[in-house]
Amino acid sequence: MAEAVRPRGLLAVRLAPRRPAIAAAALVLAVMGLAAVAAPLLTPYDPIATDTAATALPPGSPGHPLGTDLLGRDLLAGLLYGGRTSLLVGLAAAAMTVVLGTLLGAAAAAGPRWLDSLIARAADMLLSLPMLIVTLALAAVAGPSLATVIVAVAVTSWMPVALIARAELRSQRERLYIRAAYGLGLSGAQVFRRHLLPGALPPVASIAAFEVGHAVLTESTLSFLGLGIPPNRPSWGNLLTETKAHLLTGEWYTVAYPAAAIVIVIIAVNVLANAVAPADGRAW
Amino acid sequence: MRFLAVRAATSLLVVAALSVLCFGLVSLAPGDPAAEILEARNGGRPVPAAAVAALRAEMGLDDPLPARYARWAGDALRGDFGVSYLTGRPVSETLADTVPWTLLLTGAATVLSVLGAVAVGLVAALTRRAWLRRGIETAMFVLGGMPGFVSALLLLYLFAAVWRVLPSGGLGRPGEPLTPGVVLTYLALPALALTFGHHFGTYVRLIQSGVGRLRDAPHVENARVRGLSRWTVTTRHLLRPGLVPFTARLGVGVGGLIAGAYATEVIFSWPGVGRQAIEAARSHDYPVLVAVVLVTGVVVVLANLLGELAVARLDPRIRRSPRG
Amino acid sequence: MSRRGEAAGGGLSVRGLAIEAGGRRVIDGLDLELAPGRVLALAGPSGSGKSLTARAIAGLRRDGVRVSGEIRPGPGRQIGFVFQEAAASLNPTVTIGRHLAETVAAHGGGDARALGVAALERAGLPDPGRLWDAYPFELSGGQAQRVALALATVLDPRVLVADEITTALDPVTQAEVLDAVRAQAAESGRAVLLITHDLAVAGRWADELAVLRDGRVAEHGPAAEVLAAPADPLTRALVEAAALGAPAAPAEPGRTAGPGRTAGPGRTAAGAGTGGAPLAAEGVRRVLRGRGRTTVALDGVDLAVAPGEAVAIVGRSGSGKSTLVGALAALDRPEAGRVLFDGRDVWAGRERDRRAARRAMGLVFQDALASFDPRYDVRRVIGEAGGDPSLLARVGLDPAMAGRRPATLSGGERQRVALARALAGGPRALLADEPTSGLDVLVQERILRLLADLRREEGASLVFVTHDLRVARRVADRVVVLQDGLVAEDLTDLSAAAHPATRALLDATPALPGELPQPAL
Repeated sequence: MAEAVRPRGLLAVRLAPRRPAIAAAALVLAVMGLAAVAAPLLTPYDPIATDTAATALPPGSPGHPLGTDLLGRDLLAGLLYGGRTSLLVGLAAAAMTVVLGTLLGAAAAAGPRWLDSLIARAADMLLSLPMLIVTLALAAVAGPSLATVIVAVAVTSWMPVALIARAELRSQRERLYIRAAYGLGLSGAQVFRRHLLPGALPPVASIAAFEVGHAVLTESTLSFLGLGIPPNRPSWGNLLTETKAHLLTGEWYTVAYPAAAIVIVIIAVNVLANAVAPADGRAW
Repeated sequence: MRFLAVRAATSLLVVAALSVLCFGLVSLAPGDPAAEILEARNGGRPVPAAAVAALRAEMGLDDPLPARYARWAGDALRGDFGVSYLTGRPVSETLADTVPWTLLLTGAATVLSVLGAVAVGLVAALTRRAWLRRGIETAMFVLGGMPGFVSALLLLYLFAAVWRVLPSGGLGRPGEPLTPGVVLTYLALPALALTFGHHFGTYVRLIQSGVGRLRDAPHVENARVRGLSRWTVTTRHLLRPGLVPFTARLGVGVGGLIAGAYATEVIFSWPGVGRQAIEAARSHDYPVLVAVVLVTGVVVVLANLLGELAVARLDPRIRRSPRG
Repeated sequence: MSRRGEAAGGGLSVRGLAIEAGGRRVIDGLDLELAPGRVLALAGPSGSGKSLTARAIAGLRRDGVRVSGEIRPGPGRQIGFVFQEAAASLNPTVTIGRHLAETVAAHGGGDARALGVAALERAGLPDPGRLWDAYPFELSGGQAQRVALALATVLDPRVLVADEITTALDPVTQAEVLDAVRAQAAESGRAVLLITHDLAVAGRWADELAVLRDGRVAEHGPAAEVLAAPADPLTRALVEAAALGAPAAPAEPGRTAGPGRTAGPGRTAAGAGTGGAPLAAEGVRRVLRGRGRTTVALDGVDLAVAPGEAVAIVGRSGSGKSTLVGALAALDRPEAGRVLFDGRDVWAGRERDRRAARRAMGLVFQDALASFDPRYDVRRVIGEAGGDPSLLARVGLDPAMAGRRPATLSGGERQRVALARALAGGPRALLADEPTSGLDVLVQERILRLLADLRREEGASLVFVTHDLRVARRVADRVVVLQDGLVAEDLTDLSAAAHPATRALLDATPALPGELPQPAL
């Protein structure tokens, strides 16, 4: 099963791309990114400062449009600053994952046979392990921090990227139009630049987008379990850790904001990833 | 059975790699286990350096790393994972208490997700109503964007807080005998959460595309034109090859499910191995953490192996491929 | 749609068949009567509804296709159907034996194994006992088609419908399969409906020929008579296109030996050795390594192509034809032997010289579309080879087509674009690997004519790979027959064929009356 790349859950669910959905997804992500960057301008509150005078305010309270939690922390501030952390981790971890994966995949596709089988076997093997468990062990040992989460995500998710990059380059190489290009007298470098690379790019771009969603997911899961971003720095994941009990006591909105933010980001990212992914039947 | 031998050997290799990984991580972790044990037993107060040194020698912590690994692996093979830093209880006892509950939870979720995904996926693949297919695709797409713990929180809110039809977590009230009915009541929510939180959308998609692609395939038409019964055409010629991609994914999926059980167990206070792992990770109780990771890893690798055997059973191309 | 019961008399009867596909009425009032034991070829250009008719007769339905009319016998055990893609028509997860057994069981049983083995034997499969436990993906193309035939005939149906079953096969295998079909028809009094686009096939294996036009049977009669004196204009056009050699390119010595050139005829140069040849292979050996198995595709091939000469390379599938083209094009390095371009060993020189040699050769592939980068439009395809859209006019296309994507063109147009690209570098040699198989006869005829014109204008040599001796004779001065990676025979006159491999190909190649020298049997 060396050729069969096994995409993870996020990756394998595909919808036919539709233009309005793409525009909406891009808009949502842009707004969320801007809001996260401009968080200090959008809220006067410190997300971790408690205010005993304004505890457990419902949404719509004056001065606290989304309400406050039981310790009097402003929920909007938490959401905005949490977005900073979560999106930062998502982008950084995805960037690391994609760079690592693409390099390894390209090395496997272009390198000597032993390197190819080493990388492919290792990726296959690691894929068969539940990476959340390894991430968890890693996070536990290295201690929770932003950097740990980013590294843990990258180290445990490069395999699908590497396998896709490798499979893509290899299958491109065997296409008839590559042979035809060599037949025209083009050099190896010209063929690589004009045909191989542009052909392999869309799937890699697509999986890069999926990886952002995957990184956001992993970060939020680790933080939710108390093993990711430490609580003194709000993230969408760790905001949920303390609020779980609120579901049963009526303050469901303290859970709903961060949870909705996570789901919306991942879905929007997946929509974009679908849009750049090559269609099933290839370009012809 | 060359195929089986190759697969089993690969699985052993994965387990060995995992054990090295676990042991390496723990050995590289900051902090002195001997000091932590003594402090924990001493109620968190500092202990004399001489006592720590003595315990280090007794635990063999001053030996070279490979020797320590060999000793640890040998003990682990005999089922001895050492004692918890925190409680001083043998880790194997903790495992015996928790592993069965995790297996029950993941087993139930596996059955639910396979049955559910096959049903939904076949509807999506075979329906001629475009709106139904689109609706399922959209729902699965949204599900694919939900982290497992978010769908768990959603189910918890709906079933335990709004409708109040299922208990919010735990396993029985204190003193209540654990009859199968009670267990089922408490199992329902975590099992549902685990089912929909992990790979469900992927399964549906794989079934839909795998079977849908074959609906008018020449070999299915050939089966029809040869006058076979509807049942034979559907099961043998449509479903059997059509479910290969789904089955191939199932092994990895079950592995993911077991990993996903960690968060689910925390949310629903399910007395399984995952909750132990999270607690151990938070409190740096490495013997417990390593044992749990290793045991989970073995179960996952076994699940992968079973999945591959199932695919090989379904698809002779894999069985008879030259690479084995 | 009404179907009469199992009427006595046998044979196939179709009355007033009408088929609507995608809102268009493709077949409109088709009538066919076929007596038991007879073979009827149903011919027509692509898109004429041949396959739709075959599927309707077998009772196969698809969304968006509406069928009406009267067909006897109805679907069931009295009608067997063989698909064009034999391998795809078998379930890859089920053994051959199970396919046969389930068919027998579905119609009331009997000794499935005995019936199945007998059917495999009748289909010309030598070792049915071993095949019984094989899976479809373990069969060769010819074996798969024979298994599909056995599967369709295991219950000895009164009618067999065969939908272009030999299109993908080499001529020898095609002859074997169709011989089996014909023999069975005669033995068990089966009516056979043979769908084909190849009139020569119809002429050789069918008793009757029906030509489809505008949704009806335009002409129907004994095959030999229809082919000798076609009455319908479409039939005439098809016959002309199929009669490749005779009318279009009479074999005049002056034209075949380097047309328009004063240089010595290619044949003598080729015969004398490789000295003056622009392109030559000397003892070329190629070993292909696939998944767990290695094949010696070329085992010491010598071939010299003189300036302006046209050489056809023919052989059965797997004989090494395409591998030889890859070696000649300086693309694949031979394990042993030399490839010479302009007398220089291309693999001894520098990479730059090799690329110059490739530029001086124009390559054309069977699958033209796959040979274009899917991101490129026609202009970029030709531009990359150093040409501009004005070249399109030379290959009979509108230069305004330059902005289109190859995927939106028809098969014939794509092959013309491929030819334009091959011409862009001002080639000294054209290498064409089965450029016309898979094309409609009418389109094939036009492409071959274009190729002949271009060669004359350019004065380039031509190496043309084909499995069809008729095409080979049409385009080439010389025919090189490959077998198992070796040159079996190198002929300027097919009637001088002596090697068994050539004889087998000749025997298997169907010909229209007076077309090919048919060796006495």
